[in-house]
Amino acid sequence: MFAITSQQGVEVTDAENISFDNVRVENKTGDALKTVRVKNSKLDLIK
Amino acid sequence: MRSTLESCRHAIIRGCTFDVGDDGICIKSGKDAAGRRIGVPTEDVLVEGLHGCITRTAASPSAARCPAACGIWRVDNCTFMGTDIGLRFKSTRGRGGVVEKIYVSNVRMTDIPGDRHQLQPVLRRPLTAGRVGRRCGNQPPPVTEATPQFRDIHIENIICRGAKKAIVLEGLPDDGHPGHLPEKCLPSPRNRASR
Repeated sequence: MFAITSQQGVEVTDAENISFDNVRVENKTGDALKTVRVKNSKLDLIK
Repeated sequence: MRSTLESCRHAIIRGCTFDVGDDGICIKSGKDAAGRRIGVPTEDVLVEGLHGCITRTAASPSAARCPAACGIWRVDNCTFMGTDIGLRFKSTRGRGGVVEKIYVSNVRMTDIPGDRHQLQPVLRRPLTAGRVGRRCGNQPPPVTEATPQFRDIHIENIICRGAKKAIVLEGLPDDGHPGHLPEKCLPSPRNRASR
């Protein structure tokens, strides 16, 4: 379990083989997840 | 004063309180070419606390800066209070080395101040503008032994209240080299580490 309350969400840039499992993010502004050049990853968030 | 482990093996930090204006616990192994030449990693490190390893007003309670190599360390059952950043793994081009086999579990992060402070539960930043490796035009610099690597990082059971940014993972933009990108970063109960 990975539970975070934050102003902004998750940012993943230039990464590969990242896996989120049971990650809960409660962000106040913007997107919950921003990705740039991410490969072979599973980035599922629970809102 | 922060606690720094540099090129150490079989270390335990247990039940400590750090109240510093810098990294609470810094794990590293040498620096740049000299660190790679000597090549003594920091490994087999355990950081834990029965009621928490509490860090206040620190930039990062647990930070890895590993130009040579760092491997097999575990952070368990800790509380970070009012720190700028929760967990930070960072390096820069030119330092090289490998940060791997990191297991972080059961960490609570609370009381995060505002203003200039920002807590990011997880921050990886191998791409910081250093002397080596600034981009030339649109071409990323070549991958060499001086390119740092992060891989096999497992993070689970993290509760954070009040971060500015939830998670920041920032790799290198270089392409075509499988080793310089993180192979795993798993906030996953299925990958619980066993020592």
